[in-house]
Amino acid sequence: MRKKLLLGVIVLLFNSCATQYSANLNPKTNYFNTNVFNDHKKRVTVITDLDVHADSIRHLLIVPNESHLEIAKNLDFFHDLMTFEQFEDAIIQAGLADEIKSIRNRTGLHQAAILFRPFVVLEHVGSGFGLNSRNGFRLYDPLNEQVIFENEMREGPFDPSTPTPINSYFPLYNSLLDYLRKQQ
Amino acid sequence: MKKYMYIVSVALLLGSCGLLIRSKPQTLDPKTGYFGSSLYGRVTVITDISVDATILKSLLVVPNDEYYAEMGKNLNYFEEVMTYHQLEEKMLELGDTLDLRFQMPDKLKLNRAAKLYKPFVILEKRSLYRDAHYVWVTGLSVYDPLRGEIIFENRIPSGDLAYIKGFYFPLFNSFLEYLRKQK
Repeated sequence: MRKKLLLGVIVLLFNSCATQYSANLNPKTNYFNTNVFNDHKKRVTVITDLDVHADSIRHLLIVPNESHLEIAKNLDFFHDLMTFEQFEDAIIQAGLADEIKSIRNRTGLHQAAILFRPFVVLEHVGSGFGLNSRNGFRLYDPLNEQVIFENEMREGPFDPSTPTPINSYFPLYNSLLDYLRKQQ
Repeated sequence: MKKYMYIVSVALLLGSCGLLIRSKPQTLDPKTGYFGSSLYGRVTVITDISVDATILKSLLVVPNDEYYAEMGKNLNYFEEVMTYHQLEEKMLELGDTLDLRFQMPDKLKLNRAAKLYKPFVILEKRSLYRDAHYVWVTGLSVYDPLRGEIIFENRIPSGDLAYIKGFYFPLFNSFLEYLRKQK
């Protein structure tokens, strides 16, 4: 009986050790929580890192899908946030659908930045599978037609407490935070 | 041992039946004017935007499935019903392209298609997605490419049984109610 209790206590202890993921910044560290293995300073490689004027990219960020909206909101940098689909709807509602033929390619994105409003696009790039998989973010400025920031990380060790893919975004977001805070 | 085998095989048999119990498309019940269903009260309407009925009536585009094509016709509301596939072919005839294979169709192309051909709305099934309260739900959404917004969306808590298309009758009933409200 006692043995079982002890076991139970140990299991409970281990559970409480698991990282608490949340879409909010941790006020102590001023970053998103990640588990110990996924510290962005050690794990994430920055590939491209161009200095830009902060005010020129601040207007609007386009994220790939709705699951990014909540996290990207807490970056505390961009004035406005939209998903790709919401942005398309906004273009249609502004009556610009005929001039901007499609924003699924970079020509169209450039057109949209000129005709509609300035913005930057956050692209999620993934490749490989299992231990070889890589995840990365790419921040694209369609007005100047250049990638201003790109990072990449190898998939972290499996974290049984939260087997959801969203957690691999947090180290990437932390590295993006570093970049955004550097810009003036 | 033999007993277990029996139980397992019976379970397997029942399991495989799940896929076979697909409800066939129904026609409207002339008494009530709706599809017969016992689940009616549980549907929640999320989006409900008033639109011009004469434009709305023109064409309904449904998923590539006999079931939806049939149900779309049985609504007795739209002048024409097409599947995604038929619309793609139509656009090719008119000299433009359209790609509705993916979950994220290019909305600007849809908008152009609606101007080039004729106004239409797209019916989409959203099966098995989790809502804010972490309940599995199934629903229909109707997108108007000319307005650039979802004009109607509803959902019903379905558990993991959404492949049984009986769930769609109450959803279609609530869609009917919406259609009949438009002027």
